[in-house]
Amino acid sequence: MDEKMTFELANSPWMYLMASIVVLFVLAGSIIFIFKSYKDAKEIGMDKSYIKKTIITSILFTLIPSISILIGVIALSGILGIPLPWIRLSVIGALHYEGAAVSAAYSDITMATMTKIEFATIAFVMTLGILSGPLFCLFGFKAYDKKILAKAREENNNDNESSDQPKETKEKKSFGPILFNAAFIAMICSFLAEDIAKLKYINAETPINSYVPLIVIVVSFLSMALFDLLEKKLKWKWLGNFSLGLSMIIGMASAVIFG
Amino acid sequence: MKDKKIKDYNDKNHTFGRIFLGAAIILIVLVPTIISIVLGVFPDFLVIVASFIPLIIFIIGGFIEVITYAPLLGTTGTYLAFFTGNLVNLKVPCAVNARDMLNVKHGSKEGEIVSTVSVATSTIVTTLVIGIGVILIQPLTPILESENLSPAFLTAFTALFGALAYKYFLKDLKLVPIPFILTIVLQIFTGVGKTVLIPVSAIITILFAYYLFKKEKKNIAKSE
Repeated sequence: MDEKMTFELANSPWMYLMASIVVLFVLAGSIIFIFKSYKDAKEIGMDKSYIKKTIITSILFTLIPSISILIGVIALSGILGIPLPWIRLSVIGALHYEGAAVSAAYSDITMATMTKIEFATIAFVMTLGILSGPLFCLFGFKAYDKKILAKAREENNNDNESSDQPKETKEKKSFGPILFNAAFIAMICSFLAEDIAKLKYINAETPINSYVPLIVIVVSFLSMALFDLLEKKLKWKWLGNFSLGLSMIIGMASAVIFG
Repeated sequence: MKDKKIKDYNDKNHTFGRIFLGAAIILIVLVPTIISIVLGVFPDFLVIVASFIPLIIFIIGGFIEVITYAPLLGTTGTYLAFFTGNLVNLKVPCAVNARDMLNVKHGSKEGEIVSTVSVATSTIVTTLVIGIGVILIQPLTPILESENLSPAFLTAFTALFGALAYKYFLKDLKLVPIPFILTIVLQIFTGVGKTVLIPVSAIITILFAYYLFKKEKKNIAKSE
């Protein structure tokens, strides 16, 4: 009853059609937002050059990080085909989230073993698991904006011209950021633990040698460290945007060599 | 008078943003729905619900992100960014950078316009780069799907979390040993999966972090 999923199905024209519709929606929405802002700017007599400068600055800022997102699509495409990762990484949910979502649904899944039900389930998990932000934004942001942010803006406007950043000193002393770091560290450890614990199957028949995940962890960890060092020592700021995607690919390559 | 004008402008932005985001959410939920219909299968609801437990940090994170980043993105920018994602690594720094470069004040109409244009431009660039990239990698698909590369994709997430470990462990090194050892021991001896490992280790790590936080505060208070 539950038939096998294949790359042909995952990469079929209707999947591409769906991806194209999502992409066109994102593009059209963004263009409308720019036109609306352009009109607003005209209304308040803001100089046109501001819009132009904003566009140029933002293009330059985004170009290189975008390539790293593309690397994420490629990394996921070996498991899910191209269109689904393309859709997912064109909307909310970055590479680390999508990765977590796939393995939260099914550990160690690849197209070789995947069924149609599993593919559909993964698509749902990827979509729904990250929806709290957009939903809260849709229903709660207006109230938050009016009750809290409006006040902050007023204070900010009454302040001198100085800072338009939130006051960082206050944030440093609060527990919030520490809490999230702690939870995130625990999450990463849990993912790693499952892979490291595969060592217990050292004599059993497994799809890849049981020590390979450990090698991959060490290699990608060290690659990240190396990129971090290069970024800091040589002041290659652009490298920061690539380091995650590249470390991942180097780690994956080590699996091919040792697997 | 000026205040009222800003308020009306702000209301209009909210309405506009909500219409866009509402439509966007419907569209994005349609994707897995259509996949299920075309494949002729029902997704496994038990797996979907169970997956939310290991993903809990992202679910809670969604709320925190709106609260944290909305002040930096502006009203309309927030609605757009929360559909298109890549907030921390892209949209937020991009909008802040644009406002800094043009020296416009956050919270003013100018700030709102610059933030929105910046987030929208960033979205267009990302979408186009990925779209063009996808077309360019088409000839590579047979290679990506080949048997020889299957160990690579089998360990794709292992590699991802190995790399992330470096990035996040370094942020707070003293928090690492407890969850690291705890999760490995738990997993080897009980065989429990992430569904149990994540909440258990997260709660213990958070409690430990809170203990350290309080201790540090006490020490500061003493030295003062």
